[in-house]
Amino acid sequence: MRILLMHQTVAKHDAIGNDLWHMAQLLAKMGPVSVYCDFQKAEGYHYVNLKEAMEILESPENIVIYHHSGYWEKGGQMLLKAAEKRQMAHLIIRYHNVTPPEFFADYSAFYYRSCREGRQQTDDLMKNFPEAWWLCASRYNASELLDVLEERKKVIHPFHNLELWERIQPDKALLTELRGRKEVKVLFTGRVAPNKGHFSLLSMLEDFRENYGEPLALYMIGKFDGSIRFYTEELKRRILAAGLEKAVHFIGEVTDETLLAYYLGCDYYVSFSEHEGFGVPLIEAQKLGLPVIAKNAAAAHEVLGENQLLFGDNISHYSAAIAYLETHPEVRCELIQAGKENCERRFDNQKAGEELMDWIEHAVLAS
Amino acid sequence: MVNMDLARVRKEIEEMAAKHKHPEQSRVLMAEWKDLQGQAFLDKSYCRLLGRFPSNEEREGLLRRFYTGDLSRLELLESLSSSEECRVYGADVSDVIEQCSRLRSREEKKKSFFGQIRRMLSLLAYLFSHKKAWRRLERMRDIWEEERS
Repeated sequence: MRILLMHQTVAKHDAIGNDLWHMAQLLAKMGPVSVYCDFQKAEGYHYVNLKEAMEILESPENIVIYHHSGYWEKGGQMLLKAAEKRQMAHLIIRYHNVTPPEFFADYSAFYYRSCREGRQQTDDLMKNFPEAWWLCASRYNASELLDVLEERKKVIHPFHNLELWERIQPDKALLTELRGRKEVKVLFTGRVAPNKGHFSLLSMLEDFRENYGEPLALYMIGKFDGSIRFYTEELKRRILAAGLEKAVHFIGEVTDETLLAYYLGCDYYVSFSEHEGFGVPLIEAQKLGLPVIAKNAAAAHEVLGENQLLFGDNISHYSAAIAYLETHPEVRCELIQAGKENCERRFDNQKAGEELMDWIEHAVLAS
Repeated sequence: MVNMDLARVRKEIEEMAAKHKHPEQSRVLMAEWKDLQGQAFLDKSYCRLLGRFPSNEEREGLLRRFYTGDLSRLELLESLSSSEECRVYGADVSDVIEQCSRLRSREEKKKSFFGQIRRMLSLLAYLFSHKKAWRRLERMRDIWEEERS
């Protein structure tokens, strides 16, 4: 039996890259694992070409795990071509979710089209492959798959790299500098994109400074995307108009050591993200002892677990929460503790691995 | 297992948030009230507000509010404008410092004869409206006290 993992891009250290990497290591116990993609940006995999990939796809004893996170025309065509031969591998669709196109309507025709087609592709996959198994990153993702039978769905969180933080050292100079700053430091990580809620973060900053009198600084880590530069430009205009340029720090992409320093050096993790199929940074923050305040949208509540602070659209709740936690250290500690417990109890790679192997053996291969 | 009373925490946070003032309203009230405070209070509030005002025009307005015609206070504002504290609050101070020097030259002009006459007339106008102005200041103080409590 051979196993094929498919995704348009295989990168190192992003959420899907980590999921793929751990899956490849885990499934190697069952048979040789190969990877097919358009863009190879990570090493350490056994990549195969189109012909080899099709051979694996067209053998019913094999397993194919197709990671679906956006529109991938070629990937969809490969699956259809294999299905036409009526000799197809066991197909598992790893559903990471696709951002709704509406978020990009004002900023990027390319992303708007791509997301719309990506969501259409989700429908096509459901329709064209009724025998497929759907491995969802969250219950939220599973709930979107209305045309899939419940017994063909399985929720297993994405495999992550949280243990990495125990092996590396933070950038000490940066950490010392951050800890020396008197302001309240708020962290958010995620690419600079319209569904991530950057404007709400700015409003919260203004609201906090206006009502609570303490300086507050925002550290936003994540890559800029040239295709949505209108969004970035609008953000910059807003920052200038509100006179916030010294309090808002766009950090861009960083090394693991730098990211760890920001996690350890900041005081709060605040997320206004409107759409996450899972949201790995939320559990990273919990793991590293940052109190999390998040918008109750998409999978955020499910991922953060019980005893965490989630709010709706009212910006003043978020700034009040920071002010409250600043003056109630015992509640802050409880929040951190509850976050750590949630992360350790529910998002263990080993347990998830055992669950995945068991499911493949007793459900997928037994069918 | 953490036994946090999340419902109580949420309620208290929402109550805190309900007391929020609209930024614009709060901004004006605070700037006006702080005109009346002594120098001890001036330091932080001036720097904080300076960082909040986006345009040169607004910053000039703020400077005028804090500046009471006393040269020593102007010097204080000038040094505060270029202080580290102001930078922490995100203020771009170059234009404000320029304003300070402009105000300083205007102050010199006020020392002239016509300047003295104009000041006398301003003082008379102030005295005529004294009662009304005082009541307004008292109202602002009450609002500020309520906010702080």
